Amino acid sequence: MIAFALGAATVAVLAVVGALVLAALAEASERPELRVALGPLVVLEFERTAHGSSTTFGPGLIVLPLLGGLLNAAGAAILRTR
Amino acid sequence: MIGHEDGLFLPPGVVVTSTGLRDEVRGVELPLNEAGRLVVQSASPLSAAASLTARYDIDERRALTDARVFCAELNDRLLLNLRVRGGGAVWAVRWLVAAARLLPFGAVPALPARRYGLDTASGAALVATAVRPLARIASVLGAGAAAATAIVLSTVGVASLTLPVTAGVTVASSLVVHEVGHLLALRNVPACLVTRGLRASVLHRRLDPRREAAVAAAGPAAGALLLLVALAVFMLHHSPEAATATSLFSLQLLGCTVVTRDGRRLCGAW
Repeated sequence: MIAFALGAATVAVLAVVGALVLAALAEASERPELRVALGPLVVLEFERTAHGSSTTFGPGLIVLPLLGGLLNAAGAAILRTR
Repeated sequence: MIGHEDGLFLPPGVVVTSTGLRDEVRGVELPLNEAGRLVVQSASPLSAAASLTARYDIDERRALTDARVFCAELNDRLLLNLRVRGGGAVWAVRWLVAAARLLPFGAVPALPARRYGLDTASGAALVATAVRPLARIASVLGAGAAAATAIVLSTVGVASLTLPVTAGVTVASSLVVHEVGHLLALRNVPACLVTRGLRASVLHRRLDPRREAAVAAAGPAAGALLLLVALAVFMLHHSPEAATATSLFSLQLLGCTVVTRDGRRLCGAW
């Protein structure tokens, strides 16, 4: 459970930091749009409109930490069996 | 890898006893025979070979080979420090030559280890004794990160001086703060700092699993504090420099996962 929590927390922070940095870079680079997704799951969507710009953080930001937590817990379980 | 005239000296925390070499940090003793004692008390492999030849009726060339192999083994076990004659450039050339010979056989030459004593009596003393050896590695890694960033930026046509400098400073400070974090969790525990090439680690006496986990967590936790500061600056300014620092500092958290040695110790404690 600890390994899951550590993995999930780490990936959550990495994903959020990555999303924030990408959104800021998209804003600065004057791109019209940017979409980062895991298949159908959107992580980040940036769109520039006539009145400004909008950034949406999608459900991918919840799924990624869960995957990270599962992978870390699986890795820790494998290490314990050795 | 060890030259004939490289300096040999016992690291802080390692003493010669009547029966062998005692490591005060790990609390272990390696038995030594008389020949081994002669070698560890010599100033260089060459003088060790001379002592062995004088004491035993053996060929000087064989004595020199044996002394060098024994010194390399002790150095690998962190029981003997080396002072490479000619400095880092000579050592780098030696390593490249050895690598060219060994790589066809699938082996990589070992990097010489250097052990530094630490004063663990207080946090201030720990930091004071650790920063100097860490600064050497941090400066090389920082310069490498700055150079790599400059190369990447030039390939995408971005001319910037501040971004490579930010990357270099971030990588260097990450290393120092990470290791100091580990060390601050080791107050009053016998410990020393070990460098091997560009890698730094902390050697300490065996602790109970929970304390080991706390020591392992302290490094990434200290790095996470830097991340929080960089993130706050980024949220205020949205500058590319703050974005670079935030991204690089966030990698410190990988130290909490099984990808790294710290993370494996941390996750393995429960």
